[in-house]
Amino acid sequence: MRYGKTDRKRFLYGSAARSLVVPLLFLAAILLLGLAGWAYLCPGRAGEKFLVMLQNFISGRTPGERARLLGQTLARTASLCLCALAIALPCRAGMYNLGVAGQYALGAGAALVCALEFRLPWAVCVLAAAALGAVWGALCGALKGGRNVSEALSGLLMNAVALVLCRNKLRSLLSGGGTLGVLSTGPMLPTLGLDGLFGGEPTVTPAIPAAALAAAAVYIVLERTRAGAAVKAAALNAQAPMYPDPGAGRTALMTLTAAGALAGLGAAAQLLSGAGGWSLSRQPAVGMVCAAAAAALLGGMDPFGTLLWAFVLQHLSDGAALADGRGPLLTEAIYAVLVGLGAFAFFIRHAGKKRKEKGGEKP
Amino acid sequence: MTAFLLNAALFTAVLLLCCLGGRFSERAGVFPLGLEGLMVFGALGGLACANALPEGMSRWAGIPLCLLSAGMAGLAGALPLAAAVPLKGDPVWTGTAVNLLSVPLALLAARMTGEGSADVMDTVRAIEWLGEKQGQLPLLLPIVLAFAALGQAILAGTRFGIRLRACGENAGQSLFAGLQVGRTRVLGVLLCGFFGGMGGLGAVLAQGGSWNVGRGAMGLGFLALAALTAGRRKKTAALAAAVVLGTACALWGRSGEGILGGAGLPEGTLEALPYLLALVALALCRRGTGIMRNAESEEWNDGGSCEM
Repeated sequence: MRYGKTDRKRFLYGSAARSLVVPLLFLAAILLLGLAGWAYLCPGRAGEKFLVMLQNFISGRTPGERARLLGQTLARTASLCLCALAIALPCRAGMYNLGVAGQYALGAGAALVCALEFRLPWAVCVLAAAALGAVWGALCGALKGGRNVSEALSGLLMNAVALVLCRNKLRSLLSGGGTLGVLSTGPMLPTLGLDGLFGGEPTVTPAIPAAALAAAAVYIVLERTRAGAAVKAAALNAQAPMYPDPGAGRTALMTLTAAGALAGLGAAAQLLSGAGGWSLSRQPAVGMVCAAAAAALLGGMDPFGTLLWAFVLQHLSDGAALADGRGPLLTEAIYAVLVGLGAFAFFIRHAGKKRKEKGGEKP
Repeated sequence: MTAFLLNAALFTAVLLLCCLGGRFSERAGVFPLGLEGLMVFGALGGLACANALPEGMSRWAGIPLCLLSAGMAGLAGALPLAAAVPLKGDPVWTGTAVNLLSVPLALLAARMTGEGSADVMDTVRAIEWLGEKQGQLPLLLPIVLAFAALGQAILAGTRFGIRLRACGENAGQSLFAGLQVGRTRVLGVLLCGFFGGMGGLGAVLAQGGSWNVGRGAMGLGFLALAALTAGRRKKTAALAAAVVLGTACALWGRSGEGILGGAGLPEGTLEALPYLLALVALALCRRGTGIMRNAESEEWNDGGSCEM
């Protein structure tokens, strides 16, 4: 049996090849960009820094240190995964949730104010973060559903407002009221014994399994419920919001509200587990969004793909931070390039489907 | 009061220039979401040129060089956006990528060239070149306005401008009429980068003697996009929106005090005011153009007729 040109085409446009080839291409792009970046930043020690970035927790000297570093990476992955889901979920409804930075910032602000100013228990802090993120997402959804304002543009403008509000409020919490400094609550979430699995690392909390459960919940809602079908149907008709259909408006509102809550939860998971702080000199939300958008795009907007890529990207971020002080900026730049590449890959993933719909894929 | 009016005029001029850049891309059928990032690239290029120029150089040679390098840097930043046209990339994600990439790259450049880990770039040399003094009309203002008028003239009165609008409005019919749709759209996006880059240099200089690189173009690119969208393809409406938003930017002022600094307003109100006004303007102009443009663009891309 001969393997002809048509068979090759069929294989290249098949879903299996796309699922395999696209992630491999991205991994190659990450490795190349990382090596080039380190060669630019540290010409003499590029290889060494690159290896540390790739190894991350594996570069720990003792098994205990390695376990602790892995625990830290997993704790940050939980937050990144929740933020990436906040981007992926609206994208399945054909919307761009670019306001995730504002939702994350307000969630972080709510968690920090509740924890540091009012000394409230962790559960209330988590709920406050989710609620404020959801309200911010709902505002964006209401503008989209009610007034047909582009959610991408309104999200970006609301980001600016949220970041100003957050910065001004959190500045008062810093001792001395300065503009520089890092706010942190320390580990507030209960570990429930999970820290014992990772060398006593206190940032390992139930937020990690909760993030995986959130990904599963998003998958179930999208694939197995009527609301999920409505969300996906909204994506099939880009012009649906142009018409006064209350159903389309409600779907936009609900989707962006849920996305805002996920982003707020991501902020709470990051800050209340003690896995990170909130820097007032530069908004950490921007770096988080960069990685989250990359994870969502590379995961093909699939919840489980997003979870997997969130871990890979967080692993690289932590490795880069271990390697050099400029590592986080380098990974941020790499992720921004990945978002750009993802914009093209998103087409590649769906190219086969489009050909099939048009009847172009014939044996 | 004079300083406030000058500031308002400067911010308005910058917004107009960026708005015009965005108009090239929007009229070509590509939503210019990466305008903010293009401004950062432009600011970086313009400042690098201003710092590299020799001391005794004529101002009449230095000023065009600074603006040109800002424009070219913006144009270089627009290359991914332009590549998204023939390669059928998603314009929103590509624009987001440009926005996200611009700030870390600028920060890395600032840290490589500056002292220590400073995230601030010095703009004094550039301000000297562009001849601004406190309380006087900055030279940047007439230059920016002249470029804005030139851009509008290109868009409205030249054969290229008419073809660009035709390709953006109905790509299929333009293709049948024998126009090179892909190439025209790419040129539109690149012109957006050029004007956006120059606007970025203006935006940074409007902030005063130093540029906090971490804050990018201070959201002026998004404000320009909001003015463009709120204008709904009418240049007078976009102009009015730019004037209102530019004045709101000037209220906050350069150092954060503004002219209403002592009015007892809650902290951050004036800083957030332009964005809130932009949201109100977007909500008032119902049925914005963004979704329709994207839908048309996607439909055209699906047709597979994007060959240049």
